[in-house]
Amino acid sequence: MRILITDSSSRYISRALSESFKELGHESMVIFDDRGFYLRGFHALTLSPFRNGARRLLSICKRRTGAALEKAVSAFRPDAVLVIQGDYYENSAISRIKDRFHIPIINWAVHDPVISEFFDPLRIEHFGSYSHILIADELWKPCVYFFDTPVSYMPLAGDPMVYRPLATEKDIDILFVGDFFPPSPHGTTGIVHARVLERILRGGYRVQALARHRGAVLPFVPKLAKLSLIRGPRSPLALNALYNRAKIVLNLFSLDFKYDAPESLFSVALSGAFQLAEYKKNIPLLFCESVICFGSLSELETKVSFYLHNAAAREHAAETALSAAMRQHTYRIRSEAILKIISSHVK
Amino acid sequence: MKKRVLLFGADGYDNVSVNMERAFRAIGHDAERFYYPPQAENKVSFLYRVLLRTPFQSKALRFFEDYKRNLGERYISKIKEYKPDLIFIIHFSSITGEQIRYITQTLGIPVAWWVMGDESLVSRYTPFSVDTYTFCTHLMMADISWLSTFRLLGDAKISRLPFAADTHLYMPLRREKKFDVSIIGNFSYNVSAVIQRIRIVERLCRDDFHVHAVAKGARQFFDRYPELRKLDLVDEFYLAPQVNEVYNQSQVILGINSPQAKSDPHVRVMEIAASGGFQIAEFRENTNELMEGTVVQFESLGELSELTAFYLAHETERKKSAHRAHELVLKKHTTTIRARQVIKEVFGL
Repeated sequence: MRILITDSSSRYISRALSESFKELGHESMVIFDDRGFYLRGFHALTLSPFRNGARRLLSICKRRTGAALEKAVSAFRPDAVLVIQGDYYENSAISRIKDRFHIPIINWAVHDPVISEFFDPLRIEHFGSYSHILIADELWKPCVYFFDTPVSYMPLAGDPMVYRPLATEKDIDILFVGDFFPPSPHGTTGIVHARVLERILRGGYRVQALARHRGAVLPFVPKLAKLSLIRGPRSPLALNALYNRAKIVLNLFSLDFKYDAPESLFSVALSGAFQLAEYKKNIPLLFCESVICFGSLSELETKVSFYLHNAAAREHAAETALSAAMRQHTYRIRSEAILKIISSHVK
Repeated sequence: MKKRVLLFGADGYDNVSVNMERAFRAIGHDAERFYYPPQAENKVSFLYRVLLRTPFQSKALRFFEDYKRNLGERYISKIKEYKPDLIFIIHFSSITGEQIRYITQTLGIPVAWWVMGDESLVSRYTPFSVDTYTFCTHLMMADISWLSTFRLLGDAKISRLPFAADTHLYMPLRREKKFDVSIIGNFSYNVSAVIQRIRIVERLCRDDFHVHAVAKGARQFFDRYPELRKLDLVDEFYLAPQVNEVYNQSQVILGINSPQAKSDPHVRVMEIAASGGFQIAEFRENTNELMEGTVVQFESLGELSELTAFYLAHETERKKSAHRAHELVLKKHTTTIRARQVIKEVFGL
């Protein structure tokens, strides 16, 4: 089968999926849908008072992005297209490509579809043209069921070729990777994460963070001044090396995840590092209870104190989570599931 | 023991803060709602949004915090004058987290907040507004799906407080059922919820049901969704008594949730049940538990169409379901019951 994947260049998922499709004996190609300064610039402007003009310009850009996808489909002649989130496509482009080439186009929503209204209030209607919608969080179904398109739950996963255990000294007590003022629409997430870190820092623990925009939250959470910031790249390989240096990876998620978790849950598990993850209803089910979660700040304090001083307990939990992730949560396994869905649509 | 409850709540959200003021009084407490609409918000918001998009975002956040602090001073003065035993907040943003800390820790007054929106979605222009909840003593969640966020914010006691109906506004009336299917909703805001409503109504129109829609703004979508032209459209906003009239004149009412409320039934589901109307509601995983199986739900548009056809043809089934849902709401989901729950949660009374 030939599968064309299109994604934002800031995510890693498309590259991992493409490699997995190839390993399974299929042909795959990736194109990015967010190329170009203007597209990102206009997106940002939609939150400003000049939003009406920005939306018109954005619409022109989206038409061009759709045309680029159509051109890629025409050249590559795939049996199916997999769109990751697809913030930059209009439904007219998706419908046109489906009709012209008679192929299924599947969307994998990796953020809450409703959250896209931050940029473009009616953007959610663009989900209506896909042949199938995959949702990375089980609780996003109420946001897409009304398109009369099949919806399947497909949690995110990790890439074991990148995230894997390394024989590294554990020289970081607690590691946090994130952003205190992430780009819209995730700005709210940063302050919540800052409050969690504040509690840990108040307990006198040493926390190192690969995190941006601390300055934005410092007036609200002054305790963050005690955070040791790590400078360095955020590539998957660099992150894997960091995870392997940490005794505890504090894993906090974007607020739009309700029952499930983003890619970092799976990446940390595959890296073989021990993680304390924010509780989400489906994590115990996905990992057969092997990922240690906390549901409140007091529970977090108790668990940090216990696991920081119990290397054996950390190692046991990390090993069990790693084996569960290898068994069930790699992109190769997701690729197989996606191929089955594609097959059900290919005539 | 009689308590003095001061409510802070903006207009909107079906005037829940006004309804709750009435509910606290109805169960014998002193209650007053205080709301002072911010006059200069547009200019401040304009400046704030511009700054937020520049490298001076840190300054923008502080600037907006200062603005909120100024607004909050009025509320602090009101607290000092009214001397309440409890501050109860619904849908409100004119106060800072630090001011709430002052109320709870210095003035020693508990602050309970009934959370009715998903903070990751509602704080579109004020990304740090979620911080206001950090110093509350009690957070009461209308939808379980938001719990995981609020658990990480502070040490507030968190409890569940589902949406409820005000039975002074929603009640059975003896009316002829002149509408087959009805929906009431705002179609004038450009948000995802409008697309959700349009897609649902469009399907029913396509399947040739007669849909009465009180849907301000729906006309703007006629070109993109031509099936909507078949609607029996009232292009107006209706207030609660008019809404109750429509519910009582309808054979089938669509109980549409908000995409923000992902796991629990929306306030509309409770209000339709309180009106004695028969509803077909969007599926939410906790609706069966809260409404004890009295509400008919749909999980796909095909199912909605089938259920609508069935219930339009089966009056006895409709009446039975509506009666059971009505009885249940009176027993468990009125604003008066919620007011009692709040007092019990905070004071153990």
